Amino acid sequence: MAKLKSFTMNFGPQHPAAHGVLRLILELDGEVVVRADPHIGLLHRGTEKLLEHKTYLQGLPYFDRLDYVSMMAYEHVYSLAVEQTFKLPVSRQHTLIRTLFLEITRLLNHLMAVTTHALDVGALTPFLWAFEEREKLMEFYERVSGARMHAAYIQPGGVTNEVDHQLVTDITTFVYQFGDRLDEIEEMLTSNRIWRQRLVDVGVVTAQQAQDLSFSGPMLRGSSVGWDLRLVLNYEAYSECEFSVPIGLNGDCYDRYLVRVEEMRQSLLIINQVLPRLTFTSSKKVDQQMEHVINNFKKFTGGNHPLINRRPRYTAVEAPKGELGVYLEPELLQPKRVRIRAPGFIHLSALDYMASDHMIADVVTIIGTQDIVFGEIDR
Amino acid sequence: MVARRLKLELIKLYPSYIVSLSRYHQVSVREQNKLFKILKLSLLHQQTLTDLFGTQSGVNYHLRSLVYEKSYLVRAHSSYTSLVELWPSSNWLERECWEMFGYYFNFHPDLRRLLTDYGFRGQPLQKNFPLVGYTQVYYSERSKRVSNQPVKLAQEFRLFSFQSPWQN
Repeated sequence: MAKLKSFTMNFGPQHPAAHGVLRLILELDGEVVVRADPHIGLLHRGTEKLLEHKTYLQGLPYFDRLDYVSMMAYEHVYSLAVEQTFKLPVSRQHTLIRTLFLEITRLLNHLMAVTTHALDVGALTPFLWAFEEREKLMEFYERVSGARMHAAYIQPGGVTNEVDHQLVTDITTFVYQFGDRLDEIEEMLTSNRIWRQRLVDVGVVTAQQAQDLSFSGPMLRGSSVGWDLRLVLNYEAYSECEFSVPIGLNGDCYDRYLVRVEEMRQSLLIINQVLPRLTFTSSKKVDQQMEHVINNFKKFTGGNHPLINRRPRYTAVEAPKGELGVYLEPELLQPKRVRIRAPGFIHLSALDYMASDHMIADVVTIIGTQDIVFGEIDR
Repeated sequence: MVARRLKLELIKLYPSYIVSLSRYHQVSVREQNKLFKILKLSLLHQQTLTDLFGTQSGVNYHLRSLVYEKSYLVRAHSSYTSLVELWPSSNWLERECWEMFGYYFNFHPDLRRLLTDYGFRGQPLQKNFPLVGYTQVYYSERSKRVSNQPVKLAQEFRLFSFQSPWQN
């Protein structure tokens, strides 16, 4: 019998299931993947290098453009890093607004993650439904910042604009109906025969493997490791909110899907707890003192306040995709080095491990479950 | 404070190699094979490698214990050994570090460029590498393919290197 040689196939970078510009070199033995070698960097913009040439405030909008489906989570971690470096205080109201919008961002991200995953596997309908909901959420973005996506809303020292009462009412209305929308999406997927056939027991990662591969976020929780930085680090108003952290039991793609859906429900819980705590004053307090105006002008034109803490530091938050960290080595006007620890980068590096010995169709499922977004991976 | 105990344990085991231990859990290490041992010890303590990245001064290892909920940063200054056999996730991180800064990792199974273009030269995150780079790609009508040429900017890059207004 003739010996079969494995052959190599190119996947992407223009494949719709590649979630952007992923180029995969797949080594195949028949239809079974022997090795997957992702070629990344097609969206590399050198953000870390660019940040070394910008003042701290100029650097902020670059973070929107890293993970362009969970924009505010990225702004937030950078703002936290700058705040810790310069010891900037954040008011209580702004902390709450941040928590509110971080959870809205989580909804935005997971809606995209779950339903594009479904789209890759062959279910178009939930995708269309979810994008209607995302449109509403992006409208909330727009109403506070003027931009649907690249908001630059969370800034060092707080947020750029106050929220008004009408917005809170509208978010309440949204939250009220969103649980039903989630039910509808779940109705289409959770017990769907095709969905389960494609996801159950595909891409299994045990708890130990997930830790060795440095997974974080839903990828880690799907492998039954209860780890959430919102609970560990207690940033913003999360310590005041009651919510639970869902974990999967089997560590397969299906469990990670369930974890993401449950996280959306928990986000709704958090939003519900944050909304009543917001306070509204009728007149906006304007800083009239000349000295403050000058200070403010200097801050926005010439970089931040005299450096207080020169120690390099690592700041991490629980972004929707996993642990998102910023390592900031400060200098007076500009950062000396900024390192962005993108969760997707680490997850994608495990693609070879997860996809080996799977069928070629499962590669698409695994890319989907990893929630790949190239803005953050290529940076 | 279990994490504190772990740190003390590190100092006890490798006293001469740890240069400084700050309250931000930073450990500086000068000699490489000692570093490898320390990291191995960390693995035994069920630390996960959260991040690995280069700076001007060397390579940083960010370790975290999911059990004790503490993390610390190990900085290394000399030659580097690949950690792929300890943590598989360090594979790409080391590749990126090598590509961006030129730090070579011994015994790395597959040290190729990762984020830059095919055939890219230079270490872009080093301070002597210009922000705009050296080459730009264009579509060559003559050879009917994408090709490289020296970088041309229509507008000079504006570097805001004025004095900090806070200094006077």
